Amino acid sequence: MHAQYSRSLRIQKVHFFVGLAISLVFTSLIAFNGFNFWIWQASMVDWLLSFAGVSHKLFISSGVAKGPTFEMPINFRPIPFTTVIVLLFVLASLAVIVNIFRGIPPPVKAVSFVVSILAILTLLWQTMVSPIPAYTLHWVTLDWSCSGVINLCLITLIYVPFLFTIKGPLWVKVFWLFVAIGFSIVWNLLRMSLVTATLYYFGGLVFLLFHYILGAFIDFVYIVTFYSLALAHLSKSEASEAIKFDA
Amino acid sequence: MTLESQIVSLIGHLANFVLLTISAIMCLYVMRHIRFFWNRMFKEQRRCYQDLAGAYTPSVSILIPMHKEERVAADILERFVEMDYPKDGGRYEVIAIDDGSTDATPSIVDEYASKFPFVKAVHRAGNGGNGKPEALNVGLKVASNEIVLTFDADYLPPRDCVKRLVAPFADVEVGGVMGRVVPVNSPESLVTRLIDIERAGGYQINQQARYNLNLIPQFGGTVGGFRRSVLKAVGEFDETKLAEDTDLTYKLYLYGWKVAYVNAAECYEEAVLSWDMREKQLTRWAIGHDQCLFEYFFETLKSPILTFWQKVDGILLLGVYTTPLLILIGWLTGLFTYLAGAPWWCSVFPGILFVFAYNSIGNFAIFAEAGGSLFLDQRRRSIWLLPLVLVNLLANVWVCSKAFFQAIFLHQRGYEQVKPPVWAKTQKRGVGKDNYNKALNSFRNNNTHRWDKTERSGNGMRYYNDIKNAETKRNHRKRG
Repeated sequence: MHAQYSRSLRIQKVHFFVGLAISLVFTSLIAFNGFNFWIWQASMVDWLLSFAGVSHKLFISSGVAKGPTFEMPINFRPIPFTTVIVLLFVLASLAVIVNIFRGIPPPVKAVSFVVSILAILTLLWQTMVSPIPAYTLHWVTLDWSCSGVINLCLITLIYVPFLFTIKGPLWVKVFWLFVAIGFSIVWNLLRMSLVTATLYYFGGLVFLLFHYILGAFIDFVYIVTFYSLALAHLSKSEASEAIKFDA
Repeated sequence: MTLESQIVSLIGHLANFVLLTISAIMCLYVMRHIRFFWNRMFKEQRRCYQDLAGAYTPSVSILIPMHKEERVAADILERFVEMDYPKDGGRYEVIAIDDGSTDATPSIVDEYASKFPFVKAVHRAGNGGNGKPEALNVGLKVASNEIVLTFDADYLPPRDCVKRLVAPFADVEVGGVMGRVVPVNSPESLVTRLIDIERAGGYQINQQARYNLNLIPQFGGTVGGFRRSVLKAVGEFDETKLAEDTDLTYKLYLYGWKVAYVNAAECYEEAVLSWDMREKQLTRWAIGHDQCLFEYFFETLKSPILTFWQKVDGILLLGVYTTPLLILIGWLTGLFTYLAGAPWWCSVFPGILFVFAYNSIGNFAIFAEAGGSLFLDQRRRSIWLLPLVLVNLLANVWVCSKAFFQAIFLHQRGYEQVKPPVWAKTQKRGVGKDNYNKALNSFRNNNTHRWDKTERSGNGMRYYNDIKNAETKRNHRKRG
């Protein structure tokens, strides 16, 4: 009676523990082999940057820096103060205009406002607090905070309680978990290549902003996307089972 | 250290402290939503006295406030005329409140009142249109029955909705009830689809879990109701609040009553179509909810009636429309940590940076709730749209952040500023009935869908008699 309204599922305990084991193994692998993983990432980014024609050198050292480091030749010139003022005025105006103009949907307003404010804060930081020195060589280091290894642990820890517990074939859950992890690895390679290339082409200010915005924000998009695909697949499996049972 | 570097250092420490605080608050919400997800998905569900639906039929008054609702007025009145509920002896009355309408609403309402003796028309010509709570209070004066249910004019209740909603009132501790709202025009636009997903997560998982766990399921302003005596005791609908539903929920709990959530009492609404309308609607809800936050935060903490977990849930529920603002602040202050480098304690406790990263977009549990509800409803195509909930999140960040500051301003200035400029009516297009009929036919033809015939277990009267006997014994003890 009222089965649909009070329907609940039986928790898939075996699948949950399998998922937990995968998560623990993965986290341990990353914890104990993090540096080797960065070296591999750095070599892949090195190849991508060479393919794109971005001039750079890669230093791999576990002693001096925190991780593999890219050295880029940059013809850096500090931004003139008047240009900074103009840029601040333009960004602030953009934030205000976006707020006032009624035709713009709220999500676009939110993104425009946040990006404007982040750009203003980064510009102020660059100009007044910690300007990037006018060296001809700059360095980008891969360490555990920007290499994306946190996301790999995050994906397993999210998917295990929210996906592996739900009714459905284990292979579907494991498949989508590894698809998400694989995509994360590929995306992080592309992201680090893009960000490093940004430093080369556009300088420090854009690099800082781009690096911050392309961080956790984009990761959430694909984590949720693959989760929804996995859930849809499980839902289809459940529906197929119901048809077989009725037949 | 120079003065400049000291100031920078101080700002950096402040930013890190703010980020840590926001992450801690978001962690509380994460744990809350994980708890709800697990409870709804895997634990036994409370059926909210649905075995009594149809067996327990107290007298009921249905209030429908209408302000320029000519497109939808006839549809909803028709639904209540056809409602499967005993209409004899004045036990069922439908009070259509024409709230200062200048279109054809008054004539529609009068037409139904003249045809059906249980339909009453109340006209507020000239001094209407000041908000829903005022209209409801006017209708309350006319209502004469034990239970009062409220419905917005664009809603389309199924024939068994009323008897499902009133069943929980067989429990003497229940002062209010809330049903489930389902958008019926979901395919019309991106906004309607996002609202549909949001509603699914909010009702199927969130509300049901809060009811299961004996926390605070919320009365949502429509598809719900109260005992008339309780409503009068707590001061009726507060006309100074934009979210009179949240206000009433907290009043009931602080007075010792409970709100029951009836997942089986589905009612179909016409969701807003455009971002502009959505912004107005969400602004009203956010300001109203924040008004309740300012009023009930300390009362909830100090309440001698609420349990510890009810207090925790109550506080988190009050703050739910401030979380988008916290997320926005987190994004902006996170930039300091990024530019200045993570503080020393992140190296000592790397898990903290992990938590920062996890909470950077709010929390994943919200998406899991929405996905879980769509899974339970067997709506596979809607599950594919889950990533678009991020668009909704961005909209919430914008609207709720602005609304919080508006609420503070209004709280300082007093309620006189609230009514005319802020109560923005949601326009209806009247497409609900066509979509409802299409959905109804689709549901009936689809054997696996939730439109199931109401089966009887035959246990209804036994439960009803048990409750009545318990009530009789309690009354004897009081007299003794």
